[in-house]
Amino acid sequence: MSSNKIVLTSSDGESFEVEEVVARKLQIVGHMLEDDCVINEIPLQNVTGDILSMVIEYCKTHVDEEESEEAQTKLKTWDEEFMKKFDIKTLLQIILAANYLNVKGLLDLVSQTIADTIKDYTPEQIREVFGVENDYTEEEEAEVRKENAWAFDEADTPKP
Amino acid sequence: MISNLPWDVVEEILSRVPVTSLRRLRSTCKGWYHHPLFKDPGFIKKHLDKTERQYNDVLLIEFKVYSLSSNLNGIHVNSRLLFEEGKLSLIDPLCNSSELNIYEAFHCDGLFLCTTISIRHGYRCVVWNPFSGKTRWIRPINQYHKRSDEVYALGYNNKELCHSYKILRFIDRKTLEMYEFSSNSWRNFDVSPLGDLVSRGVSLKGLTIYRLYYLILLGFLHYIKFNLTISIY
Repeated sequence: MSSNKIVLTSSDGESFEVEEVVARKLQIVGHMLEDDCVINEIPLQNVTGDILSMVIEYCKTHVDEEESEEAQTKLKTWDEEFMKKFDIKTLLQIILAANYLNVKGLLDLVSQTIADTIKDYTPEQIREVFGVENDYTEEEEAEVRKENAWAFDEADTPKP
Repeated sequence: MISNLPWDVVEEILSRVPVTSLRRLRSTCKGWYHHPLFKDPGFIKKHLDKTERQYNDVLLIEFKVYSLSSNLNGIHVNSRLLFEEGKLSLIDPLCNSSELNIYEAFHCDGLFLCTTISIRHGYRCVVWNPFSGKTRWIRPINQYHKRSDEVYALGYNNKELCHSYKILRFIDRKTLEMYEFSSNSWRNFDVSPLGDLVSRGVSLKGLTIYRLYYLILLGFLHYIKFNLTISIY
């Protein structure tokens, strides 16, 4: 395949020129190219430039996924370092983008990172980060907490 | 904002959160608490597939707690002491200072169902989370009598992801009782189980024995149309 260049444009008008093989990692782009192979500029309406640049960085790194164990380990280390750069709110934007652009590997990676982050959150922290409203009355919430609290939530009860 | 996240993305994330955390996260709001996702067999399977390897098992050997890890086929088993010796013990609430002798232990999700024995108080039953130190003492419907003919198991209904724990008590190989944590009560099953339930503590070689329990349990719980699994690989 020739090193055909594709220009990806974000919702806020930022343009990124990438190799076609990199652009194809975005399955949404892959499908467009199959439908009409003469496109060389693709507008991506649901992603801002700063997030799109992260997605492209991921795709560039993962463009040739080698089978060898050494290459896999190297990629894994890169993935871990890459994820460390972002706070939870940015991760949520990246996961939305990965979902929209259909980048399977990134979707898996960010899902796991978010899961690892939120597993230690309290419901209050979850509400704040995810913008969920608490619709329990105080009594209802106490009841729900009581239901399972005895076994796992150690913060509020002293040891015997 | 998660309210704007498509549910398939939320599902991707939540399927990777350990079940113990999910229970807590579920109380974020009513929408989460009642979400059908947590009762969806497809999601439960997905969750088990993704998180299975994250769990280490825990063993109780000579009153000390060990973590147990094994590869997927259970061929290589490694164990190590989880807490420093003497730092983790079950204290008898009836006589504050003394440590309890654990007669039998059954493990599920990091929780231990222990039967304890003491000269003054005889046999008692407690569920213990060694990580948080929390305990719940369980009062059976009938007092303990012929100890050797009673068997206990801790588990949950695997039709629900954020399950409520249940204790199964099998007496004289005839009577089956079930305790539910959510209601803090026992109920009887009016059946004559076909299978057998054998529980004799846990040991380092317990992995094989556990598997055996699992099969036996499933077999006879299927008979009473109640699907309870014991959390073991």
